[in-house]
Amino acid sequence: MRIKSDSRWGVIYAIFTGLFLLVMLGYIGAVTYYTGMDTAVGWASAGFVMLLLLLGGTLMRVMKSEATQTVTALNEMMDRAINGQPLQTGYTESEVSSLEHRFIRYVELSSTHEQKAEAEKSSIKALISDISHQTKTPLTNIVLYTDLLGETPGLDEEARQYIARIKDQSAKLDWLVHSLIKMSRLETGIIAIRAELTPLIGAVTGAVSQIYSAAEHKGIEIAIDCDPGTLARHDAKWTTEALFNLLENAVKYSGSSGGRIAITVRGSEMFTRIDIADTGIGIEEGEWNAIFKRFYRSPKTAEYEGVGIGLYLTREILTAQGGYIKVSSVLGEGSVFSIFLPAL
Amino acid sequence: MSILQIDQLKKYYGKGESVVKALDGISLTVDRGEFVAIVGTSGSGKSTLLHMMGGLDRATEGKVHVDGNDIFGMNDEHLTIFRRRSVGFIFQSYNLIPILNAYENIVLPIELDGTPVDKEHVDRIIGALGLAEKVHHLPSNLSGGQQQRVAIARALATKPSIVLADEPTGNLDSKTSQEVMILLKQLSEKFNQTIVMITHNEEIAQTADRIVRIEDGRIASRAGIGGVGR
Repeated sequence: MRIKSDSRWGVIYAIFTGLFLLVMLGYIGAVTYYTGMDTAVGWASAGFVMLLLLLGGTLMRVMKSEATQTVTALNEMMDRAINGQPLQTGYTESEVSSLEHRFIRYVELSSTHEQKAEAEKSSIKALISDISHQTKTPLTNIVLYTDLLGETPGLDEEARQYIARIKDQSAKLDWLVHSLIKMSRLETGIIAIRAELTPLIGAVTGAVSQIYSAAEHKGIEIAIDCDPGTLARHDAKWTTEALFNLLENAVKYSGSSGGRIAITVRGSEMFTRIDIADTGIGIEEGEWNAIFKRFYRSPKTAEYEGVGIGLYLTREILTAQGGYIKVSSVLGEGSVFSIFLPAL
Repeated sequence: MSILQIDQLKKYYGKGESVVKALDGISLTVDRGEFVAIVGTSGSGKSTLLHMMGGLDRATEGKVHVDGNDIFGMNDEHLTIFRRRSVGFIFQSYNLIPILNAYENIVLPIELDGTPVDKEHVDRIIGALGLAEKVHHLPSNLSGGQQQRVAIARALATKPSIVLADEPTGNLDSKTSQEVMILLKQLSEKFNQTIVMITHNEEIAQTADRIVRIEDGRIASRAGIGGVGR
């Protein structure tokens, strides 16, 4: 486009210069002819023509650079408007200024719409957060009073069983509410993740120690292959949580006849990869994406407890740290969850 | 909101008896910010489809709209400008200019267009791709993965409507391929960048939001791996 328009300018210049020269030659000829071939007049006219040509040329040059400047200014103006920087032209009577104002109005309008949508979204998230938070205290009270009730002397066996069930269900509700709070805080960005380049081994051993007794109970062997020097840019507390969620699933979905969980940590240029491989029931290929969605529960896991938050939370934690999670699996043979954390 | 719309696209080579139907009536819509993988074996027509989307080749029949513009309705000159401004290409063989350093390669399309470089945007992309320390290196001093990351930065630097990736991990080992895919996925989310990638590798395609399968110039049923709709 630029090259094209430059050559068009060239043609326009050539035509106009040619016409100008022709007219001027005619004029000089005519003037010298009428003054009786006076060479002095001829030279004076020629000088006059040269002067005119010079002036005209200078004017063209100035106009052209002016035009280029305007386009450059417009470009800059657009960038400023998009980035939300203040007005460049101020309030002047120029066309450029009015264009800038209109453009800014347009940018403002579209960003207002965006903000509105964003505000609605975050108000819903805040509502969830509030509800979860407000349920915490009553729930703690329920747990407390159930405990007290259980200690009341002279209860019959049936009452005790009911109390045990209430306790059981309250504990579940308590866990759910805590997960919801964590989730909504992560989503709304209330929790600041402090990612630092630190060894991963701490997070791995931390998560394993939390799950160890449950794994041992089911006869599941856990193997860790992690070089203590392998680094990742992460927040150890949250990575531990993410790993724990994955390990918990690995234990939950492993058969009762034991099994094996292998944790492998491998560093690479951009990302450090943690693989958690289990020998559990596996996940069907069609569900590989869906399992990370909020409240998604595979129809095959109906017999297992859970609400479908763990993997969602894990993915949120990883995304917040600039990481990534994926899964691959063979039905009936096991699943491999791969976590990628930035290594730079 | 759809950014790419393909209607009944056909591309036939040859005439009469010996006609080869590279594309045989493909319709596809891609939304803004979506990361779509087009999977097919070699000869399935996936490369031809990508070339059509990028305005590198003209169709026998059918239309392609990018950002509402009918790209086959443009003349060659406009098509060239369209490709420079609205499409970012990522190739299997990186296609970096060997005598320019990484940064110069990244901003080359912007400078070709004669527009000023949005330094902030370019720096964000460079940061996201972990190239901050490599910007002054020549391509020959970079590993394959790094070269492809430079090529990705170059494709995104112009803020194109759509990024087209042609087997972006074809020359990389599986570990590096995985990294490049994760980066593409993260960039797509971070910059709400629409990306269409073709590959023959199913595992690579898993990272995308949606997988479209092509067989013999037609879209095969989408019910499959990861093909759970969006």
